[in-house]
Amino acid sequence: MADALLFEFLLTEMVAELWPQDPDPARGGRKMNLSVLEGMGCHVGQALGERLPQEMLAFREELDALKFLCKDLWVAVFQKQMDSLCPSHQWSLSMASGLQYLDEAPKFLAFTCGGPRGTLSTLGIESLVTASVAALCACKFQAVIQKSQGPLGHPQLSLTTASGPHPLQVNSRCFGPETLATAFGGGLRARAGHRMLKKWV
Amino acid sequence: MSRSARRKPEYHKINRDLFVLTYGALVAQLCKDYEKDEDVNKYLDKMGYGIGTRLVEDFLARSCVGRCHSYSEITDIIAQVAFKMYLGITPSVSCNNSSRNEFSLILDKNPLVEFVEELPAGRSSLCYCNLLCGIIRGALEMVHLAADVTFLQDRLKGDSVTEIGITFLKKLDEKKYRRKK
Repeated sequence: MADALLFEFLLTEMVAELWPQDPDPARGGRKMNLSVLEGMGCHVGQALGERLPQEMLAFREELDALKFLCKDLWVAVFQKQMDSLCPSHQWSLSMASGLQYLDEAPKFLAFTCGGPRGTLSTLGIESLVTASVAALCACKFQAVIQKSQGPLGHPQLSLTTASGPHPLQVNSRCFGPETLATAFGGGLRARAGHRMLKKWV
Repeated sequence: MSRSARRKPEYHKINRDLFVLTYGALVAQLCKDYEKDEDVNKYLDKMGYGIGTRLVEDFLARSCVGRCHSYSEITDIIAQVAFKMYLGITPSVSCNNSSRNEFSLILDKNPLVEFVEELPAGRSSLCYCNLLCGIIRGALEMVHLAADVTFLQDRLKGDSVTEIGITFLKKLDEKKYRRKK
């Protein structure tokens, strides 16, 4: 059976490989790559949801599904429990922070947001999952349940930076297994509904 | 609320599925990005190399393997300890030449292809599991062993077995070899 560390390393390399190395300031290019990563996470989440035994997925309410996602599935994937789940469908996770990885956080958050969205879609719940880092050591995920009929459009994972530009040049290939944890820190915010990338460091 | 009779998920199974599914998504994305199979194979190997250079430290810390005195010993450890630890399988090992620097790992089972029925149309040269070759190559290089690692046979391509070939490029010098800490 695959060790959990393999997934961490694979995600790190995957983000490094699929992210453009040249410092292209074009907003469209970066946004597209975020969508690619989020889409991959969504497909994986869907496939993972389909693999779960049916009796495990007998939820009567959306809140039950989210509780399962946060308490059981999240622990299985990341070996860490969520700190809290709010009735507004937000859940938060405290992890070690690394300010120097501020610029790199969106890449790793994109795939992680796609996963829950895919799993929820398997449960018949269309959602939009975004991540925000409001405080230095915490990452907050928000799942917005789509109530309207019809297919959910491809979510726009837009990001804004909360602070000024950082001149550090960080090679993501130098990251060790702590990358996932440290990348969640920093002052990056991700808001649902924004169509344009407001600021990109 | 529906709480009764719902059992907890099996964490190790989810971890395994997550890795395998993510790898499949990665290969699919690379196939979209690159037309030539050679390019996809190259990037999979490159990514595997990056993983291998880091994974070897975890492996050495957890396995506590002793000093190796031959390429044969090293290959046995890769097959019986490393593959077992990370993928839960134990390939069989065979030596391919009298110089004893070319070896083959025969995989009876390959968890990476659990959800793969066949290669996509027009992708006959794709080495779906080329990440494994890169991982082995990167790990060996971090312990100062240069090696060529390639797929010699692949069940996904219609071969009878899946075979990874390891060719050690430099003669092992016992005095210079040190286990990387």
